[in-house]
Amino acid sequence: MGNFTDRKLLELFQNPETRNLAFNHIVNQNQERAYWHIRKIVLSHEDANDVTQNTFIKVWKNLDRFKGESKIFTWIYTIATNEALSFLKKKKRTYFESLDAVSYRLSDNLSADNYFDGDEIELKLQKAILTLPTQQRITFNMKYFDKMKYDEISEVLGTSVGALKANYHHAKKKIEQYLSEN
Amino acid sequence: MNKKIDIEKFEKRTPFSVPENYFSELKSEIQDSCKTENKSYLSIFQYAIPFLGISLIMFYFFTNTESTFTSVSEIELSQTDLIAYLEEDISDDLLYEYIY
Repeated sequence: MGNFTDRKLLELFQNPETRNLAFNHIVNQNQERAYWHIRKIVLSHEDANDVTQNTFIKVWKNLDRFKGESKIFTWIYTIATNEALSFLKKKKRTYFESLDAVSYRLSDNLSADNYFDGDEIELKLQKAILTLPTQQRITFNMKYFDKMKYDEISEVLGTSVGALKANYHHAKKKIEQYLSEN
Repeated sequence: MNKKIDIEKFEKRTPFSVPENYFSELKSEIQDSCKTENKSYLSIFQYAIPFLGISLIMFYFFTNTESTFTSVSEIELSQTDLIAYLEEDISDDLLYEYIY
């Protein structure tokens, strides 16, 4: 399968005869990145699997309406983020429970998770990250682990670069304080 | 005194794993899920159209057949028939049968 530009992929997708080819190419290019981004938000492999599939179903249904104003990758990342947040909302035990509380509760299951293979420091780091507010946690993960540029994160989250830089800086401080105290 | 920690010096590894061959299977699962989504739209139409058709037929049937039922009180009788009715003491049901 050759390398196609985003524009070419969108053209191929519009044609019923090449729609599946285009979609397969998009899935191949983006499924792993989307999965790991989602996994870092929802933590559990089973949940990340469900959310990833829902993400690509939405991509399939809506790609013909995508105007190409951003990269396909950025658009998929945005869908993945929204799907993961929707998933966390469904996990709320009560109407009044915050998303942050849901995220913090997820940390209890980390050490027992069969698909967590971090050492003690990495476990503490993940628990520290889970103490962050959800949006800040997502920003931190995208910058720290995914090594995305602030411009790209800004396109995905719809937040200004300046706000993201401040967010990341505060997140780092909180995490480092948590690690030094624990 | 707590040691100053700089997380930028950490390895930055994502400490999660996946089952073996997960991503090659994920692609097939996504394709199957998208095909199922297409079929679910089709099956809704397959049920909706006949249902609408039957509903329309039933609506037409009930709105038209009501007008064919006429109560006995609305029946117009000739004077001869009326006199015969009174003299014979015919019940309403029999009268209805007599006329129709």
